[in-house]
This record gives sequence, C-alpha cells and structure tokens, in this order.
Amino acid sequence: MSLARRSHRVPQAIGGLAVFGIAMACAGIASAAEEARYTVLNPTGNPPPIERRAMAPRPASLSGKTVYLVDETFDGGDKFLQQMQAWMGVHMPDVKTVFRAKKGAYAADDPDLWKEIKSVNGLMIMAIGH
Amino acid sequence: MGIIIDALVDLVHDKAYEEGMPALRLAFTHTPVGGKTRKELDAYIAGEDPVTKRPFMEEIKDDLTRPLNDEEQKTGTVKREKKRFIGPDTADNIQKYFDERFWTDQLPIIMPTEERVAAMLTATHHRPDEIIGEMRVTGEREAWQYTVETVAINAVMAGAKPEMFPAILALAASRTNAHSSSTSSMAAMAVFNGAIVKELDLNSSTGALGLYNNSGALIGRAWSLLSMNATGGSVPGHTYEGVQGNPMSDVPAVFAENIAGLPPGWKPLHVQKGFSMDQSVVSTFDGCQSQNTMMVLADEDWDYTLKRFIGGVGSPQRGGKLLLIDPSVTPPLLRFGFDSKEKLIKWVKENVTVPKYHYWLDQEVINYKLGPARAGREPYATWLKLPEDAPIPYLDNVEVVVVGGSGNIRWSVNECAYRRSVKVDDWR
Repeated sequence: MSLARRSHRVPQAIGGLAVFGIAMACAGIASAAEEARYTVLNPTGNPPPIERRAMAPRPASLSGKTVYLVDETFDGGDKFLQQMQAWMGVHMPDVKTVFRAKKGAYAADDPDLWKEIKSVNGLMIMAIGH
Repeated sequence: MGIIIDALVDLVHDKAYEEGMPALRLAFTHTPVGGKTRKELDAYIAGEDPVTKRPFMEEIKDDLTRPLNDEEQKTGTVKREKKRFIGPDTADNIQKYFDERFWTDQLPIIMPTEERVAAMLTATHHRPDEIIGEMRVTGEREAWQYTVETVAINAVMAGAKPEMFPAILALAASRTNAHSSSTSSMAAMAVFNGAIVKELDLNSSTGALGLYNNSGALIGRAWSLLSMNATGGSVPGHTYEGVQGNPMSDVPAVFAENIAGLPPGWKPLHVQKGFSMDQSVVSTFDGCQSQNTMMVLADEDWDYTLKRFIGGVGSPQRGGKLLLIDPSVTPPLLRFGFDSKEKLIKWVKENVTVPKYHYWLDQEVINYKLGPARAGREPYATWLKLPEDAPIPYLDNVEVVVVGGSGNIRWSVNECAYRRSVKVDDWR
C-alpha cells in the first residue's frame, strides 16, 4: 500500500486544471482566454511527520497459541468477541482464547494488559473499531 | 490486529497511516455491532468480511499467521509536504478544486490571493509563520498545526474583513474545532464580550444566534473554514464522520452577550472567567448537538420544569449545558432566588439528575464512562456502586449567557460544553 494519503475520491486536479485550461484555450473560446486567472494560497494546515512502525512478527501457525480477544469497550464489542470466542472454541480447539475488556475508555492505554499478552507470547485481536 | 465496522473503512486506513502502519491488518464486520443480538453476531462471524468478501474467520486466521512483507516491516520518518500555491487558473476552476477537496463549505469563496491575504495580515502584529495552534479531527486523530497565515487565508475565503482578523485569530488561538468529526454530529459556538462587541457591531439581540449580523456571520464562517482546513479538509468518510451532520456547524453561531440585559448580580461571561469588564474576550463552546427552547417558567412548578427542560434532551454522558437566557426571562429567575449566574449553575448541577439504573443503560455512557468506572476513575466508580434509583448528577460543565431581543419570554438550552476564553487584544 502506498504511504500517500488515501484518495478522497477526487482527482488530484491541479494538473488537470491546467490541461483543462489549455484545452479550453485551444478550442478558441475567447471568453475563457480573457477570464481573470488567480494564483491562490493553500488553506490547509501542516500535518505532522509520520513515524513508521513495523508490525509484530507472525507465528507460522495458531496451534497451541493463546489469542487474546480484547474489548475496547465501545458499542457491543464485548458481545461480538464473546461470540467469536465461542466460534473459536468449536472450530479452533487447539487455540487457547482469553477474553479481556481493556481498562479505561476506548482510547486509553492499558500497559498491564499488553505486558500480560507478551508474557505468554500471545496474539491479540481488538474490537470493535467504530 | 483489529476488527472494524465497515462504515469506517476509509477512516481506519487514514488512522493506520497516521500511526505509521499503513498496511495494518484489519478485518471488517457489518455496521452496526451495537444493539445486535448474539445470534445476529454469530451470523456476522460465520459470514464474510463485507469489505474484502473473504470468509471472516479465515481472514482473521490468515492475518494472524501470514509472514510480514517488506512494507509491513518498514520504519523511519516520513515528512509530508503541501503545495503552497494553487493556480494560476480561473476562479471557477479554483473554486471547483477547493470544493472537491472539501476545503470549502461548498459555497462560493473569495479567492485567497497573496495580495488579499497580505491585506488581512496587516491587522495583526503577529508574524505570518507563527504557529498559532493545532487541531485534531477528533481527540484520537493526529494534530495538525496552523499558522497566522493559515488563519488569514481562511478568513479571506470566508469574506471577512481585516478589522475582524484579531477576533478570528483569538478564536483560532482557542484551538476549538468547529467541525469535530465525531459521529455525534457536533457543532460549536462563540460568545464575545468587551469592547470588541461595539467595535465590530456584534449582535446580542434579535436573531443573535443566526445569520442576522455581518460580523458574526463572517467571523463564524472564517472559524468554520479554518476548522475544516487546519486538519487538511473536512472530507466525508475520512475527516468528517457526523452521521447526520449538524446545521449549526455550517456557520457556527458567533454572537455577543447582551450586557444591557444582565440583571443585577449577574456577571458577564468573560468576567466570570477572570477577565476585566473592558477586556475584549471570546469564549468558545463545543459539543453542541441540539437547541431546545421554551417559554417562561411558572412560579408553581419552576423547579420541576427546569429539571425536565434541561435534562430532557441528549445523553447523560455529556456533562455540558449552555443556558442561553433572553433578558425577558431573568425577572422570574431572580424571583426563584437566582440572584447570580453561579447560583443558577449550582442548582442545575445539583438538581438535574438521572436514576443510576437508566444512567448505566445509556449507550454513550457505556461507551465513554463504563471503562473508566471499572478502572476506578471517580466519580464514575462510585456511581457504578450506587442503588438503582440513586440520582446521578451528571452535569459538570454548565454556563449561562444572556442573549436575545426580548421579543418573547423565550429562552433555550443547548448541549454545549465551555472550552476556553481568549483575549482578542493579544492578537491585534
């Protein structure tokens, strides 16, 4: 995936505007040629730099692993993950699952939980992003 | 890895990009999850990812075990540059270019040429490249910085005049975002007090909260455009997520407090916030979601009606209320013993309550307060242990502003929370 900001489903049009302008001029439309042209300042703020982060290495298999199902406490994530846990119990019996509700509000850090997951070399699925 | 509702597919990729993991592995489920039965959730889980169309659980297994590719292991710093100038081109084409990027409110703008921006900048002694603040689309998104020049560009686009620029800069310095991207569709308001009110002829009377005053309308539009553009544009699905939108956020209400209408003992808002009477100050409010109006309170049941009226709208998760009181309504309030704003505010905070049972069933309360309560944060931890019928006094951010033209004994309450007050003269 490109690191460019995701498309906003609009053309990156300034090049297109120039082409459009040229096309209009070539078409001999006198009024377009005489119309005032402006150079304007960009009204947007300044984005911060991005610090790239590597994702966690993946195991070759989930067999024998512990998967933490972490509820970030928003809009029914607890029920969703509990149903996932039940599904995994039936369809992935060689995987241990642990349900946890993250401490604090949905955006709050929970370093104790991350430490616990690391201590058992576990994996994490967090839900529900809303 | 994370599981996300499919309504937010664009937003979550933006967020992953901002956090430096643009290829973050995500699985999507149908929207909504909240309010669904366990059986319905089972169907989600056994079905397919509505975005990738892959079997949901197979995708999760694959995301957890597939070896990382080079892109997923990249580290380092990525700087983002923006183009300073746009054009030359016709006004129509530039308007279209701006509209497509949601750099406008989809209404015609004044072209922000260097000359017009320079003229706006003559109204302040601050350097154009001075960083005046930063804004986030929501509290969880990255902070973008904006300069005095950024504010001037947006002020020109709004049609504001240079004499309004210090007031607009003060609003910008408040760092209050008038275009929060919350799915709750929130708006903002600003109240001016002090000498600036006369200087700019700001409205405190009939129609003060609407577009019936040139200064208020233009300052409000400049604040609105700045709030959209300080964070790179207000793009639906990416940087604007208001489920229904909010008509109050198109041009935020910018008005003056009706000082002449203040009854004896009631201080103007800026004096309440520690400023002197003659200082020019703007005070901002955000989180505004609705405005509810009513007529005068009756002597026989004013306390019942006041509680019902103020507590009758919105989730008790939100602790903010802004009481916008027309001067015609103040005599009965004085009669009920509210001889200062502070007494009225105290009464509201203590008496507008919701039973504990209903408080903890409110979905917004569950989303925002249950986690902190379980983590021991007060007062929520204590509220969680109360008897089911115990009253919860959930309002903690209540303000009173006198505004209106006394054409009727009507007043209103708005779900706004006070943010901060900024001196205008610091930005001249």
